[in-house]
Amino acid sequence: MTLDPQERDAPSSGDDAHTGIDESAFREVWRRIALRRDARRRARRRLRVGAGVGVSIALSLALVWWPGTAIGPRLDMAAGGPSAGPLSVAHGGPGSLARALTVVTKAGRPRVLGLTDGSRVRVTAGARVSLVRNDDAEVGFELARGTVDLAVVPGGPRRWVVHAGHVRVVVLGTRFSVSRDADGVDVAVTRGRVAVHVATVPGAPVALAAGEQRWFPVPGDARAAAGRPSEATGRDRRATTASGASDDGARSPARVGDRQKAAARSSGQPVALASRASRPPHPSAPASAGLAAEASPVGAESPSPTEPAPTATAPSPDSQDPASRSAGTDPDERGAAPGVSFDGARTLAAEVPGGEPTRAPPPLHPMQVSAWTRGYVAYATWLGGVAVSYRLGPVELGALVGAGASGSKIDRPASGRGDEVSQGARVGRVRLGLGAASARLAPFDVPIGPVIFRPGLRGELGVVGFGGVAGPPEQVGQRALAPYGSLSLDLVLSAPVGQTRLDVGLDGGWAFGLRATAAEPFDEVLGAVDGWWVGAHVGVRLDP
Amino acid sequence: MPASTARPLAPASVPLTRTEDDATEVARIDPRPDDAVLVQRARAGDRWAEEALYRRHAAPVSRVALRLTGDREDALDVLQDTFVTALERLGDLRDPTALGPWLRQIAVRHAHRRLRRRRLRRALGILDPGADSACAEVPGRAASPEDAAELRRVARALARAAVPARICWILRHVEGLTLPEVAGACGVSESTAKRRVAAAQRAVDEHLRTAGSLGSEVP
Repeated sequence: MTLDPQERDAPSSGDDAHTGIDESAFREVWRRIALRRDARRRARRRLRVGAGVGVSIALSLALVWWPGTAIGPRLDMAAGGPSAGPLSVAHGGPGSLARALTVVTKAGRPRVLGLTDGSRVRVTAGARVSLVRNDDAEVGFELARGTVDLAVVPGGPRRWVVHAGHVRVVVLGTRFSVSRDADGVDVAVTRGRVAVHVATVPGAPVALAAGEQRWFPVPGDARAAAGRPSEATGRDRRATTASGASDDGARSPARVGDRQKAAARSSGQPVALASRASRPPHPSAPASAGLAAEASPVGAESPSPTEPAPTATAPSPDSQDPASRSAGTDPDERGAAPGVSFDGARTLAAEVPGGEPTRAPPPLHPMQVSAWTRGYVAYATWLGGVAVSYRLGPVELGALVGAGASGSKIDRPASGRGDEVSQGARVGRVRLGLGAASARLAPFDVPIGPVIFRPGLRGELGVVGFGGVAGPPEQVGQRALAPYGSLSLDLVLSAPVGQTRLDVGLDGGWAFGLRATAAEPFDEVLGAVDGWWVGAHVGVRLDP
Repeated sequence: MPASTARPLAPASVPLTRTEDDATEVARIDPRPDDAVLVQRARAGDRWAEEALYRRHAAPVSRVALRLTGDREDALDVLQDTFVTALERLGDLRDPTALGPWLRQIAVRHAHRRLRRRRLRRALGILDPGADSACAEVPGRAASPEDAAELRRVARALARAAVPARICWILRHVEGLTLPEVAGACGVSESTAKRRVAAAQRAVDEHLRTAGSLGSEVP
């Protein structure tokens, strides 16, 4: 709705003689005010939408990445990959798993270690666990005392083995807990299936399914050789139950009854302590083809809680391997034994077989060359160019150059000055010589099959120079420099292609800065530049 | 809209689109709603009220802007910036009846910013030094050539003063505001405003004295 002439003419008619500003100028200014306010409203709306999308993406990523979620702990896959070489602690580098276990054991505090394949190892307070093998075929732990919980990512290429005295637990993808004290070894399976080899029980391994828990008593002669029949039981049992209770609520802290233990000791047979076989296994639990070879058909049956577990007929060849050397020995004696020291990471890493990586995966080159393109929405500008980046851990430093063109919409106000708003005459320009330095923070990688999703935040500082080639006469030939900064979200999918890795990404963000005009007219020497941009890039990480 | 069909401004309680049936009601409508009413309606998103506020205050704001910047185009830009800012922040105005001084304060701030930018450009050598002269276009068309010449001399003298002092001096001696009004427009205390006016006055006196002019006659 417009004003009536009485109101419209009232303010300006009396002042024209003094200010020299006539009604048409006032009208033009009001038109420009309306344009600017509309542009600001749209910018605010875009900002709100962008902020909402950004927050949603950030929350989604945080939810996915949060430890404990399905794919959360899968960190640093690009550095090693699930099938490449030994496992290490996430962000810890080669050999860090053995060092971490040593430190945790020495400190005596509970600790959860996230590994590079996404698996997790939880060591309870007072537990003594060491790494006996770590390569692309097997990850082996030796449990001398206490409880270790393992959440193994299903489908991995490695065999996971826990040696606990006379018991050896083998798994290919599950979540389970192994507790050891002076009286025996307690194995509880939360998800998937495991095969338990008992050195003192001839036959095929005992298979435990999700929800099953079984106690494997130390044989009487072995316990006598250990020399500590009962005094450590109470202490160690407390340590044993601590992690299990937090891991699965169905596991009671008092899960091992003395009478059951006594019966088992007298019989020398394993005893099922709690059968939860009726509970359906976790959906992510694998069929565990490798486990089928480990477990006997008889052992796969869920035994009655009061009946001894069935045993196999043939002795397991694995029961004679070096991992069972510590069967029946006292944990303290074993800890002080020559060759296995818990006093220092260096000693352990050097003396534990397989504690150090024996074959490192071929690392990808940290440098990447990529082609990029982006469009600045508010300025109808499209740019393209090449970029080089160098990865330093979670940070990628880069430099980019490029060129482009724009069809900026320029509104000419009463003063004759260009003010880029969304309405007005179109003015063609060619922008040249964009140069920028960027830093991209990609703190975590999320594997999706062979592809790695690498979200990141990028900050950019650069300068764009441009000159007008068409449009109003005052715009033609105008040159300007615009130092700018930009914050953007960068979503990259990285796929292996031969010995290289191809990255395809979408990015977008907010650019802001100044525009310094370098030629006539000088009336916009320092203008503001800000607006959204969206873009895409394709990069190749070179083979070293 | 032709003048014969023109209707007076509508108060907040009356819908903007009316039919002939409303003719009897139109008769008792206040033809000139005050600023407070227009501000309330503009806050509610009434574009018509926003334009009415602009029409009502554009002239005084542009006059202040012209006197501060001394340039017609800069004054129009200041006018534009002032109303863009004011309409965006209309919710911050505590006393709607004080819209005029509030707009003047915003205009002074934008003019100050523009003068600073102009001074920067002049320092960088990309602006003609002669272009930075406040009050250059202040003399009206009815002013005598002698008065206009004197005012231009004053403008050149003011160009030597600091921008804040120059603004206070113009508001005080050209715009005719009281010291409290000058202080309010500049967002400073009265003592600061007084000090700035005095500093600018010294610069003017000095310049006119060295130029052999009648400095004491300058208002």
